[in-house]
Amino acid sequence: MTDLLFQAFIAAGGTAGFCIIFRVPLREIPICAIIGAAGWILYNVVLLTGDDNKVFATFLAAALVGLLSEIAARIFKEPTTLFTVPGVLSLVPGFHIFKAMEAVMDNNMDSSESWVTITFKLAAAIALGLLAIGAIFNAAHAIFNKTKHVTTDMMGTLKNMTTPPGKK
Amino acid sequence: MDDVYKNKVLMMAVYAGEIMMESGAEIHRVEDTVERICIACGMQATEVFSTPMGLFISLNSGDMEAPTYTYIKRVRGQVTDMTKISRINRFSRNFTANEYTIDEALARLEAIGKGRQYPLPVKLGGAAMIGLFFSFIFGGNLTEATIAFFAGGLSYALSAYLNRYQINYFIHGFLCCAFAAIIAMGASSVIPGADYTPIITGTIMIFVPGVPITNSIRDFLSGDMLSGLSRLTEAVLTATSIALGAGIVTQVWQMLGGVIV
Repeated sequence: MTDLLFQAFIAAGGTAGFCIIFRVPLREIPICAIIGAAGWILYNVVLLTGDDNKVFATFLAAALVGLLSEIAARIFKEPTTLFTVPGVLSLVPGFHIFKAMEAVMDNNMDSSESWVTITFKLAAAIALGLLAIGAIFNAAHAIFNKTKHVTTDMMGTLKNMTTPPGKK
Repeated sequence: MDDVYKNKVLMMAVYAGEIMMESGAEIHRVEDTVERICIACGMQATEVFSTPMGLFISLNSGDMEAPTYTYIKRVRGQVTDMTKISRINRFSRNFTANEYTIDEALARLEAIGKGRQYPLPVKLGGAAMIGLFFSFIFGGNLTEATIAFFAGGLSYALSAYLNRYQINYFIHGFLCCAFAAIIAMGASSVIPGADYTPIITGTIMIFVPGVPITNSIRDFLSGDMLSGLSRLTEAVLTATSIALGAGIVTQVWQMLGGVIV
């Protein structure tokens, strides 16, 4: 339990560091840190449940980060990217990238292959986790806001826009 | 009179799009914002095409007799700046709700575009924090994390220095991570109880291409395959340059150590 708290703390700290570099507005930095910590905790909890399935754990954690980011974006009326980009970084396989390169440099074919493969698998897991949540929210947004497929005439004039035109 | 007005709308839309593109927004958001701004100004026939390398905007008031205006803007370089994205987002919401006149809007956009990053010491602190906490995440102990704290700050300082000059992103990532690896190898060979792996992995996280990865996914999702592919390529190449920088230094260091000892 204390270990999980410590993990949450370091993930939040690392995420906050990225927020500073990416110039996230001060007001949103704590929220990004919480989202990053939540993702990392879920990753660790999934690993604690037994089998050492890092790829699936990363997928679930990335999906949680995506979900929390979409919710935060709607609460604070900010772009979703602002929360996803720092939040997902604690899951990025930096360790595996380095290990893969080290194995390649050592000319150790078997271990380099497996390190490169796991790196790509982890990156793909992050991508799919975010993609799944993003796709669900996109579809829900389009259906609830009744965004129709926009048609245009020959000039390219929009025929059925939802936003009222007219500013001069 | 109509020409001046159209020109101002076009300039405003181009500028808003350029700021968003440079700050690391996803394509869908850039195109949507530009289109909304133009339509709110009565330019019913607006087409926007945006890639990470450039922005194409063409607008017309939807009248066969009226002239069509087009602007192509080449976008170079990228400094991730979430505050700018967030401010433009708010700006476009207020603008489409008819809150500003066009001149006010131009002045506001200029103010957003001039927004500065956090001061360098603060950013160095942020980079040092990344080094510290990520070396813990990758299983480092307190000694290793402390070394990574300094290695992170120093290598980010090098990166800020290199950013002043027109340096290829591949060389940039390579040099910064090679420098971080040199610090890590030096410190771990002097200080007892420190292994170099958590130090290096914690420090190279600063340069990991997190923004291109997340943005390329969002671009693929919204159907902007061209920019999705280009950002994915950027992410893979940057990751390679980072790993290469750190990997070559550790390898050379071990070879030299073998010769000397």
